[in-house]
Amino acid sequence: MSDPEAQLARLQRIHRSTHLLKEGGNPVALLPGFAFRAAGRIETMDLLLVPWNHSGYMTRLFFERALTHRGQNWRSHRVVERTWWTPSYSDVASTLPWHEMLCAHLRSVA
Amino acid sequence: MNIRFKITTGLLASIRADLGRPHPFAMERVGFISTGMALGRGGLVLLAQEYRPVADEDYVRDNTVPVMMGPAAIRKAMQWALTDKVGIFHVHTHGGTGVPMFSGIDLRESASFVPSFLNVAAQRAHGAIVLSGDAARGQVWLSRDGAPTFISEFVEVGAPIRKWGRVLHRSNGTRHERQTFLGPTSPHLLADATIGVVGLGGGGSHIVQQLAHVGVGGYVLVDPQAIEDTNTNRLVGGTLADVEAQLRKVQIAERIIRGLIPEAHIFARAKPWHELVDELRHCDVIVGALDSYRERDQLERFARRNLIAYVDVGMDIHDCGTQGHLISGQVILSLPGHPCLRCCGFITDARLEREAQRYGAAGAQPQVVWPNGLLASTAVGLIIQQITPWFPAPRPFVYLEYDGNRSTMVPAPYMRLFRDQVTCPHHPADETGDPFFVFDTSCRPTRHEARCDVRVPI
Repeated sequence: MSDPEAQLARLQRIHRSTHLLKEGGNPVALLPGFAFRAAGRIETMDLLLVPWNHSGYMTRLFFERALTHRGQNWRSHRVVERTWWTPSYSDVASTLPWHEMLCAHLRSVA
Repeated sequence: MNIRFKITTGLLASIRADLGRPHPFAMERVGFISTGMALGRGGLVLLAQEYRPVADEDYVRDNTVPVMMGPAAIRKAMQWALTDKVGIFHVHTHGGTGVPMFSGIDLRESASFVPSFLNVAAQRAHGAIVLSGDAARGQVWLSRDGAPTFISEFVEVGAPIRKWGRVLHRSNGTRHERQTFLGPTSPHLLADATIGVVGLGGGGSHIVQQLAHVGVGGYVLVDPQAIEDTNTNRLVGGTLADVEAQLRKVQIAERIIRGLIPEAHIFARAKPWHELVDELRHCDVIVGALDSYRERDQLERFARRNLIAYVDVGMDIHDCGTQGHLISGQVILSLPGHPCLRCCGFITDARLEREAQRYGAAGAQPQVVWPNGLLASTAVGLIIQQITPWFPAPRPFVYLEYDGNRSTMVPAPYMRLFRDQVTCPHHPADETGDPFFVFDTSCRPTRHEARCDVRVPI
């Protein structure tokens, strides 16, 4: 999606402290201390939404910690100078608005 | 605190060229350098990103000093610090050679305006640097109220790497009798160097062995695995007794080094490299001897963000059906500011996608010892070119392709294509440093773990 600032504004309606960082000249959205439901529990942690092709996937959502009870094949990655965890979860298109992209990725651990 | 300032050769050369231009009335020119920051095992690292000269109209006439900036120059620099959240370093040159000294005027004037940058960007370090034709000196303010600290070491990241301001380790002279062509200072440069080797299998084990023979004094060794029986066809230094003892690959590498350099500084951990970034950040060169494109991509990006030279080594054996097997490989030198693994088409989104689709189905890749040895030896040559002055003009970008069936190692066409290219679009200079780095309230550097102020469950 074009216009990262507009996409960010939509994400900030969900989570006010979301802000943009850059990786390889491309925008990524950091959601500090984001609360979400995983396996019936509320988890709170930093999330990083990469809304473009990364590590062989169309888009990715990185988690501060691995949720070993949900999602498959959790692996660590180094993105924006921080170590993150993400499950193997594909088919979240980069054409989606970022807030929809976020929700689609969170379904993999819901 | 140990403070290291790193800058690429290209950026430093452009600063020297700009500061050498005559000004209509001032006797010197001045400018500002922006920096990112990171924290490593060796202390604080300041990473130069961009240079902006003070505009001609922002100088003011003052016959009592060689050069005087007007308030507009400082205001613009403060705006830069505020907007981009960067450290700001005032820079000028005294010319000549050798490590320069700040004049009394330099010290007084810097103290009058540099601390004010902390008012707009308190979580960054700011300072002043004076250059000569071949060296530099600098001071840093870490807090508004504290006294400045001198920069302990300058590192010019290029081909080769140059350092000033640090007392070099002593080294046994007779050891190097047969490699004096590397240069009179090479024993000290080698002893002082720290090389990170990520992956200590077929390629990495060769590299470690050769670096120890040459006399490299510092190592960060990273590989999470223990040696297995299937590794013994290529893991140099590994024995059947090691397999029996389930020794970690890092332990075998450390044993090889200690056998040649008992006093070597070795940090060895059987963990993924993602967990050892503070140690890797201190390296002069990082070698990636890894199996996956994904890890190479991320390790190179880590090296770029920290202005570290990266050398990639790898080999593949392809089944060509009735044509037999093809052994191929590559050695790539990726220097900050120059073409990268993506520029030369080695890392592509399509390759990463194919690798991701093969997830869990790759199985054990075929590997043999002799191509690993050849590729590792070539990589060691490039590393030594980065450290010692034995070769007057080493190439800043190297991509060598190995054909094991023809026994050839030839420059990839990209080397000619990129002969004059010195910029890389995949690793912008303004991403240098750790975006999560801040100072805590006691002015000790730390990493910021961002916390939300509003939480909305979905």
